[in-house]
Amino acid sequence: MKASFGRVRVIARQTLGEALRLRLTLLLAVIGAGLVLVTLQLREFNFGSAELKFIGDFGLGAMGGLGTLLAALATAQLFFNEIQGRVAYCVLTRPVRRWEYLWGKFAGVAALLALFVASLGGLIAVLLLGRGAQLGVTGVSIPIFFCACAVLWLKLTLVAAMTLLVCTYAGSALFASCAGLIMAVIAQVRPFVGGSGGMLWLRAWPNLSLFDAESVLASAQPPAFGVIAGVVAYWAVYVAVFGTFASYVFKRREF
Amino acid sequence: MFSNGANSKGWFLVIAVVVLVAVGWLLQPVERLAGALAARQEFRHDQMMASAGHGGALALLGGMRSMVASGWWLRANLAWEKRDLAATTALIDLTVVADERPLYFWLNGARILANDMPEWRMAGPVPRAYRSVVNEQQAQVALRFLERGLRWHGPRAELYIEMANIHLRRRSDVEEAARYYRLAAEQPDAPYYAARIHAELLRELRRPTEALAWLRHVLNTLPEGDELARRDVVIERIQLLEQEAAAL
Repeated sequence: MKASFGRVRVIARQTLGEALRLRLTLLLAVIGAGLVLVTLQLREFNFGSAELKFIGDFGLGAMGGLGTLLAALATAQLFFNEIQGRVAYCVLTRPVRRWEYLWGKFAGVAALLALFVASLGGLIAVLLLGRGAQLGVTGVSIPIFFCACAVLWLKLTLVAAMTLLVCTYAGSALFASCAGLIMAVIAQVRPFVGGSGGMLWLRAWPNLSLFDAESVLASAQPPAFGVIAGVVAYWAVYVAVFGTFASYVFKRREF
Repeated sequence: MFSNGANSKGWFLVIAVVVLVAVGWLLQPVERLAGALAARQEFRHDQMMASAGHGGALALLGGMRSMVASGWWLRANLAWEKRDLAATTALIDLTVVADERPLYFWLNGARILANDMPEWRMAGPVPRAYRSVVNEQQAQVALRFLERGLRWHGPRAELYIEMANIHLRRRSDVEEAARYYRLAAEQPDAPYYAARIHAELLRELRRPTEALAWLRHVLNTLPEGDELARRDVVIERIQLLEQEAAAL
């Protein structure tokens, strides 16, 4: 078990290194940082809520949108880069089990997403603190904001797990990333499915709207421990289910 | 793709679907618990339905609610400048479904619906009867709008005060206005003046005994050191009501 964990860690580290060298990661990070900085200009455009709340909301929205793109696109690209570059074959000829390879990939993407959320979240927190000091108010609690970022990270990693499942049977990165994004949209609109009717089967799909970072930020107090535990348990079960399916399919995949 | 062929693939799909359904069913209690973190789903449903076809649905899913709502509010104001009744009403609705949280949108939207729109509908001199019909219609639109705000926000003093103002100024219904001012005064974040206006309206309704009892009750809850509480005004009005009662 310890040896397996070590191999997963090595693959995760290598995946993270490769992910950080992707142009896509850099592009999305730059766009994200740009959008966050643009918030300072857009505050004139905000009518409804307090300025700091608007900055936090907008920042979380930008992180959520770009993070979902990163989770689907980077997962597919990293997976297929290694398949098409024959690197995966070299790795799998060594004493590495296919599920270890897959979970290593997932851990690497999860680490990439954590870096993405942490860096943009840090930037927004600096903006919030700076602007708050200028205005002499504390409109947004920074610990609650980071709690919202953590919830967002859970959501993004679940999107990555869904995309990884598609990757294990798909033939191209384009198909896998598009399918991953479609699955994410379905999971986001899943709660709108009524109690009956032809769309009831969608209830088998995970509900991404539970990972509602905006609502966490909107609440004045940090979420209760039981609620956080529920969200984390929900996330862990679905990541485990998608990871297990992906491992099974990948094990039987012929190269 | 699979080494054991199509049969194995078919079985896997069946098992996968069964496992997903079972997991979804087993996780229902966890989902309910975790749902406390998320916005109430009925709002999100309304938001999605209302924003579909207006270019906002994806932005709402992506979490850009403040941005989308601000955009629609801006457009509502442009329509307001043109006195375009249909567009303004629709855009105010879109604004609050995009982001139901800021009271600013609810209060200002209701003011436009109740106070501005009747004037747009009555260009030039119109008979008094027609004026009162239009005022009543627009007041009802604004009240329904604020009731929706109450459903989404829960009881809020600001929303009750706005409803009271519409009853008082647009419908001249003092009884209803008094009722809403009382509801506002009973909320924990209510401004002190709501309670005082409720008492004044009771007086206007010729119910001085009720007004006196209410003001005595209110006086006990007013803090000593807070200037905004205007204890002196409340005491003065109590004395006045007591004199009136004695004179009867």
